[in-house]
Amino acid sequence: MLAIEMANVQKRYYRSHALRGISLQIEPGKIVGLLGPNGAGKSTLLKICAGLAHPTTGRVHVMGRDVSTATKGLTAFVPENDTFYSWMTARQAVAFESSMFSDMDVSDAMDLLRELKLDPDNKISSLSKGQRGRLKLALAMSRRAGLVLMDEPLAGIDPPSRAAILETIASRYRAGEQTIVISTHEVLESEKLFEDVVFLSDGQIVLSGYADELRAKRGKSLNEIFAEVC
Amino acid sequence: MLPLAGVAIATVVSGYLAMRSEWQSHTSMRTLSYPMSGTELLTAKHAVIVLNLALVTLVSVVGVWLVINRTPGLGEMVAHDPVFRAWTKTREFWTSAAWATISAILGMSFMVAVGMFSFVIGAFVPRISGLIAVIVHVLVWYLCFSFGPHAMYIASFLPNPKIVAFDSSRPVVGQIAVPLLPLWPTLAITAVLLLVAGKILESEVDA
Repeated sequence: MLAIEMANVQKRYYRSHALRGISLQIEPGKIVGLLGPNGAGKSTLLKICAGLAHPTTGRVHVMGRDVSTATKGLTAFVPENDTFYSWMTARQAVAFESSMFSDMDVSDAMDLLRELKLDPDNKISSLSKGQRGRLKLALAMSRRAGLVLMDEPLAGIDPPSRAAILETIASRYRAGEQTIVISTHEVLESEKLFEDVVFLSDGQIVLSGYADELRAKRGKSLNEIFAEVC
Repeated sequence: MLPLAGVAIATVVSGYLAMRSEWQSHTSMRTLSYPMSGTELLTAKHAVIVLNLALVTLVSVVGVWLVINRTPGLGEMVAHDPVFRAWTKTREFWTSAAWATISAILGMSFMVAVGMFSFVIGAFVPRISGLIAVIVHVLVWYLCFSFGPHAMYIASFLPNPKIVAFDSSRPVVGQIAVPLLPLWPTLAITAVLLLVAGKILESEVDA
């Protein structure tokens, strides 16, 4: 069963095309990089998989099912924007998420908050962007979700927080059981995480494949390939 | 009466504004990622808004009552008004008060549901969502007033709330029955608005 299967997916916003006929298959149990410049359609693609946006045409399956309320329960989505209720504390955010997702491990979430140097009793409104980025990650990675979708998890984050985020993804990833799709245009720092990559430009897939194979075939790093194809 | 007028205005706009604030603060992206249907999501939000409004109304009513009682002369004037005298003398006071409370809460529920529904329809066209929402809001009200009497007629076999009082200011004591809002049609329309808005939210609207 594929983690994500898309067939000829298009998404239009008025006259502009966010996605132009995307057909994609993502195998389960891998960390996949969805790479492309700003405006390439990465966020739209992830939102469609998370059930937060609806394709204009085409078919999307997540974990073998049509995207629906049921697939939302199997998917952890880490949005680029801050989507917290800012009056909550980190502890309350964990409790709120656990009331929504039965696969969330609250004690694991609290451990992760400590690992990421977050005070559970701090109000979200008082957290820095980097701290809120770490909190988003803690909420997603403390779930036993089969599919984790991360939309630009490093965007606008300070270097120490970026390092902490990448370390946490690598250490918490349950190889074989979980699929993680990370969209980013900051390839240099994150490329060592990726097993598969999909390069997206102007709403179309311009290149995809196994990361190691692409590096060997082209004799370049993913960052250099990104600069070449996108 | 100013606080009560404020509550009435808040009731009309709060459903729309609560939804708009979710979209503006991007919290809609989190709530819509939860494994619950659009109708469940809207119903939960609707319940919280109505509860808040009910509490604000309670505080406003108590405030108005305190002002009336503590303003020299005003309390006596109200107590001697035939309408209020009829109120206080009737045995049906508590039943009437209960019906009035239920009707007030249901009326708020309906208005909040209209606001939420208009936001969801407006979200189809984000560039002019506000204008669309206003048009939908006005249209729903127009349809309700146009078809309300028909709905009341259809539901006339069901009991409808009313305030019962006895006017003792006349030589012969007469019973006055003041009908409140059409309970069952309002309840049905509120449920339909939430159901339809929820279905549209989960299948058409982007977070």
